[in-house]
Amino acid sequence: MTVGHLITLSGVLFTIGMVGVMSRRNILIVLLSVELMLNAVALAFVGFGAWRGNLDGQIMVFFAITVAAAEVAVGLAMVIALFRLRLTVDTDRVSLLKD
Amino acid sequence: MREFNVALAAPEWILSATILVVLFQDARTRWDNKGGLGRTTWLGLLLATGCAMLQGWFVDTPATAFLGHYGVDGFSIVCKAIFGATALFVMAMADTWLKRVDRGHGEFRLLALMATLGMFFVCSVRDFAGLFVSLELITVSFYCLTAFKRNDERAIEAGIKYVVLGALATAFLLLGIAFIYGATESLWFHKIALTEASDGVGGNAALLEFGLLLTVLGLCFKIAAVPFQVWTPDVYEGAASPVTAFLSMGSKAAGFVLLLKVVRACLGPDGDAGIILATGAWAGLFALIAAATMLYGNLGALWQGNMKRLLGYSSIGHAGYVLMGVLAFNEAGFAAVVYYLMAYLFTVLGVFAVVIIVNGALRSHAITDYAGLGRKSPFLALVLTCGLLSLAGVPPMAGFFGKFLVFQAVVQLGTPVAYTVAFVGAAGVVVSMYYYLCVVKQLYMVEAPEGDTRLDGLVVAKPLKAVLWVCLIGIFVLGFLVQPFVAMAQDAAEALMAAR
Repeated sequence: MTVGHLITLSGVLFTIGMVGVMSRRNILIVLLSVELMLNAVALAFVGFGAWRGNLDGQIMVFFAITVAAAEVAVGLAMVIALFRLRLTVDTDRVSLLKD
Repeated sequence: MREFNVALAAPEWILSATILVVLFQDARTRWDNKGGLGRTTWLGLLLATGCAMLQGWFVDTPATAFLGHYGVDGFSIVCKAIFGATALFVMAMADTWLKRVDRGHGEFRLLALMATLGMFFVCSVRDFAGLFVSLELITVSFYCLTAFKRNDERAIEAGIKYVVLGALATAFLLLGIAFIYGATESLWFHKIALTEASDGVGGNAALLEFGLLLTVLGLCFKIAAVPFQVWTPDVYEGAASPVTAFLSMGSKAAGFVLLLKVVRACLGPDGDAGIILATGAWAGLFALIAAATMLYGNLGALWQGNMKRLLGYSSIGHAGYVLMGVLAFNEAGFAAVVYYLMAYLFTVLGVFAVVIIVNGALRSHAITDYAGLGRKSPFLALVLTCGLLSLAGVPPMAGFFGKFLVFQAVVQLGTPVAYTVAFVGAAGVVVSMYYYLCVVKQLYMVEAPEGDTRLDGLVVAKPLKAVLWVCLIGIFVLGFLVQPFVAMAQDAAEALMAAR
């Protein structure tokens, strides 16, 4: 397994996540897809770090995990608040703000 | 270079201590007795801003701390002064606004302080790990602030849109950092220029360019530029007005500070366009982003009937103008960006201060409801008019000179791309004149409907009145007494170019 394999895998996971964010209408799935994207990047960091024999990449993964957790925690809190108000987590039905 | 030197980060230490004090104070006071929190916040912000500015005189710049990961130079000091002033102005607006909210005072101040701490760190970071963490400190704080009114469907909707798009942009930014890391073997900004110099155009250049592209796209979210601009009008409308004011100035300026740092890192050691940026494709990319951003913002603002949405689209347009300064890739352009941000500070916060006061009386943001403000409250109408004219770039105001410097920096490049983007920018300015003047017309030419007494006898709290005066004076000082402030911006740009 070379760095090329790792980066390709990371790119595939990132793309799956991105397609999920763009196409799904359930906010929970969207948040899940975002998490997939961030973890794909973490894999890329580890891959590049192993290729270069450098530890900075693995340190960045810790930051990435922490920030991803914070973002998803805030996102889920908003989903709960939204569900209490509207009894839905469907993005199509949340459209008060538009031109 | 290689020592801890912890005292250098004094402004950040003060802000961190303030955050802890507010946290404990909030837990130890009753819900109806939160006045002390405001005093602590004010004290902490004033001390931190003052301390950051004093470093300009008492610290032998450039200086670094934490093994070189944190740096203080002329650029970071000017930027911290801008962010400190932003936070103080926003806190004055929040003081008034929080009186209408019965709970969550502690959380609001805490989150605003954390966002300010992130902005201070943004000025001083010297590597991509610091860039990522400080940017996320700002972003996550703003997610919570946006959805702060959690029983308001609009605020929650705005918050969710902001979180989803923000997380998407974060992923792009992080992937970009990963590729830059792969190309340069390190997270330092200054390693980019070294890699460019040693690898030439072959080797890792493709990795590096792809990484830079994703990083720039990720930062476009913060500055509200195409392709990550769609959240702006919705979030501006849904969030509470002080939060919108903070977003429009603080969050945007933080994005630009980081963009400047990244672009600077790609330049050669003497400040010449390094190997990557000299290829012309990058100037073209930035020009494309800037032109698309200016068109989207200014055309979108044309048919807005909601004041905050209008300001949202106008904020997108202004991101485009500032990007013109960035794409010059030289010291004059960077100085123009710094000056633009200083002018934008007084201009946009003055406008938002009026919006908050008027909204307190109207409970609406419809522009038609501003009718008759000129007669009923001449001072507020005057500040709003001056702010809007400054945003439009009318000569004696601060905004004019900011635009002048930006256009000058671009036109001096003399390339076809530069002329094109300057032409699009000029067209944008003309278009923007129309929608700003429509609001001004509403203030003075249209009478309030019979029996509408909502705008009668507006009472302005003292801190907010101070903000209005400072913004009004600032708009004119940065328009008339230009020289000292241009010199300040040039010094900052010079320090940025000299940074290692």
